[in-house]
Amino acid sequence: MTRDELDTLVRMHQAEIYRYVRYLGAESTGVAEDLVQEAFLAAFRSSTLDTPRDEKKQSAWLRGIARNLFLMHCRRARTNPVLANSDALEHAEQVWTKDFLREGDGFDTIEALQKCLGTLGEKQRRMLDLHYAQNKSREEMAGLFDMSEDGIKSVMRRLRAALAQCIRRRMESQ
Amino acid sequence: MINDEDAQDRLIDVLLREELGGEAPPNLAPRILKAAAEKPRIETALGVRVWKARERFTRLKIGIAVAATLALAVLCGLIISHKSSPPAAQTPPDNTVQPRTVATLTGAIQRGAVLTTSTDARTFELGGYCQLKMLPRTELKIQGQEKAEEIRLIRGTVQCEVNKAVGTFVVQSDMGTVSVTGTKFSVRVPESKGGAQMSVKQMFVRVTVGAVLLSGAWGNLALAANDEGGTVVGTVASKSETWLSVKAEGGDEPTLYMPYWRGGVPKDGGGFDKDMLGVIKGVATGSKVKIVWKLEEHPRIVSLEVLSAPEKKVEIASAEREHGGAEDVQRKLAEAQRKHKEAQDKPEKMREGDREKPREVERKEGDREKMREGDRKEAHREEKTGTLVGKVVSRLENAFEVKAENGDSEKFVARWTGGLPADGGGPDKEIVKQIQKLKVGEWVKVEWTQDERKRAVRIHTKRD
Repeated sequence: MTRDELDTLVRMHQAEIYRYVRYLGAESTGVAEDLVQEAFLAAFRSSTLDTPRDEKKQSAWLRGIARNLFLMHCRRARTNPVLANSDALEHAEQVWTKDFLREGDGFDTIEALQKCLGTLGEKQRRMLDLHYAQNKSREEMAGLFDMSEDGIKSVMRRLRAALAQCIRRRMESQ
Repeated sequence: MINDEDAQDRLIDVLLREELGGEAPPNLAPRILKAAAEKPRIETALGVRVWKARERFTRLKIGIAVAATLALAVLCGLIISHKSSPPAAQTPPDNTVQPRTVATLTGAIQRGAVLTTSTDARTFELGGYCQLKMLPRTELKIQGQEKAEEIRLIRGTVQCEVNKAVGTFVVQSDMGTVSVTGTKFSVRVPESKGGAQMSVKQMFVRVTVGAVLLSGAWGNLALAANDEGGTVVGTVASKSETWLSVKAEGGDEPTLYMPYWRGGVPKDGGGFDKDMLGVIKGVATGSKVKIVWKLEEHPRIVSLEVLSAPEKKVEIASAEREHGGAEDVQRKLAEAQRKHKEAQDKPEKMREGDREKPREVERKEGDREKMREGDRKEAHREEKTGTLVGKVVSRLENAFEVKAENGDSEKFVARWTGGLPADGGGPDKEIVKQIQKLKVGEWVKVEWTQDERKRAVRIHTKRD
C-alpha cells in the first residue's frame, strides 16, 4: 500500500472505525484514537497482502484489525472482561453490520437517530441532554428527577431501547 | 457473552455521545500519516503507553525503597535530636501546598488548596481522570467537585490530559473559561515581569488532541486539535487600517491582531473581513480593549470589545465624529461577530480554501511529502473536492445517489454546517431543500467535498 492509498483509506474509514472501537468498549476517546491509529498502521504494514478494493470489504477488513487490537488491548489492560473474548466481539460485529451499517455506511442510521430524537418528549430529551451533553452523573440526575440512581439507569436504558426501535421502524419503512 | 440487547444499547450509547455529547470522530489522518512516514517499524502508541507504565512502576519501586530508607534515617535523627535538644516552636501551617508527583485529592491535595511550582514542573492527578502538569512558575487553585473537576489558573501554564468519559474538567482564569470536550490541551496565563505574584491579562490555549471550548461573556470559541487561541485585555498601542497592536495589561511587548481573511486571493476580490476592518477603524489608539483571537498564520480577531476609550477626551470625540459615535462602533462590532459566526458555519474550504492550491495541484508540484510531514494543520484542512454529472437514481430526505454516464454511482449527503451537533451544527438547510426537490431520473451536476463521505456543496439542475 502506498502512502497515497493509506491517505485515502484513512479518510474514507476513520470515522467508522473510531465509532466501532468506541462501540466495542474503548474506555476513552484517547484509547479509541490510539486503536484507530494502530488499525490503520497495521493495515499499512500489511501492504504485501492485497488490500480490498471494494469499500465495504475495506471497511470489514479494518474492523477485523480493530477488533483484534481491541482484544489485545483488553487483555493487556485487564479491562472489559465481558468483551475480552473473540466470541463476544464476533457477536458485536454482527450487531454492528445488522443494526448500524444495514448494508450501507451507517449514515442512514445516524439520520434516523436524529429524526427519532426529534420525536422524544420534553422530559426524555432533557434526561438525554443532561447525561450526554452536560455529562451529569446518575447521582446528580437522580436528585434532579427525584429518582434513585438505579431508576435513572433503567430509564436511560429504556430510552436507548426506544430509540433503537424507532430507528428500526424508520429504516424498515424506507 | 453479551446479548443483542446489550450490543444495541452500546451502539445507541455511542451514537448519542456523538449526536448530543459532541464526541464526533476526530480527524486522525495527519497523525496516522505522520506516524506512517516517520517510523517504518512503528513503535505503537499503545505499546509506548504500556512501556511507560512499566517504567513508571519500576521507578515507583525504586522511589518507595529510597523513601523508606530516608524515612528511617529521619526517624533516627528525630529520636536522637529529641533526646539531645529542647522542643522547637511549631511553625504555622502554610496554605500553599507543594504538589507531589501523582497525588490525588484523597491524598495530599485538598480542594481549595493553592498549588505553586517554582523552578520544576510537577505532575498530579485530579479525580482519577485529569492528569495535570504544572510548568515552572505556575500557581493554581483546586476547585470543583467529584467528576466535575475544576481549577483556577492564577498564573503560569498547565497542561491537561483528560479522560472526558469519566467526568468534566474546566480551567478558569480571569480571562475566560476553558471546558474540555477533548483530551489534551494546555492553558497559559503569562506572569507579569513586574512581580512574581502578578499575571498578565492574557490567556493562551493550545489543543494537542481533541477539542476544547473557550468561553466568556463574549460567547464561545471552539478550538480543535492543533488550534491555538486565547484572550487578551490591553491597550491599543498602535493601529493601521488592517491591524491593531495591543499591549496586554501587565505585559511588555504588544502583539499584532488582524481580522480574518475572506474570499480567496486579492485578484479574486479576497481581503480582510470588511466588518472587522470597520470595527478596527472605529477603535482609537489608547483604547482599552478585550480581544478573543485564534491563530491562523497570525492571531485573527474573533471578537473585539472596547472596554474604555482613551484617556484623552479630544481623541474620543474625534473618533466618534469620524465613525458615527460609540453606538455605531458597537453596532459594527455586533455585525462583525455575527458575520464571523456565519463564516465559521461555512466549511473550511469555503472560508479560506481559495487561498490554498487545490490538492491535486500540490501533488503535481511534489509538495506533498513536505505538507504531510510539516504542517499538520494544513493537512487537517485539506479536503477532496470534485464535480459529478449524472442522473439521480435514488433520493432520501437528506441524501441522494447519482449515476454518471460511465456507470459509476455515488451517494451524496448535504454539506455540514455549524460545528458539532451539540453546538447546533447540522446538514446545510439550503442544500437539504435542494435535495428534497430532486426527482429520480433528473439530470444534475453536483459539486462535492469529501470528508468521511461525499457532501454536496452545490447542486445544479436543468431547472436552474
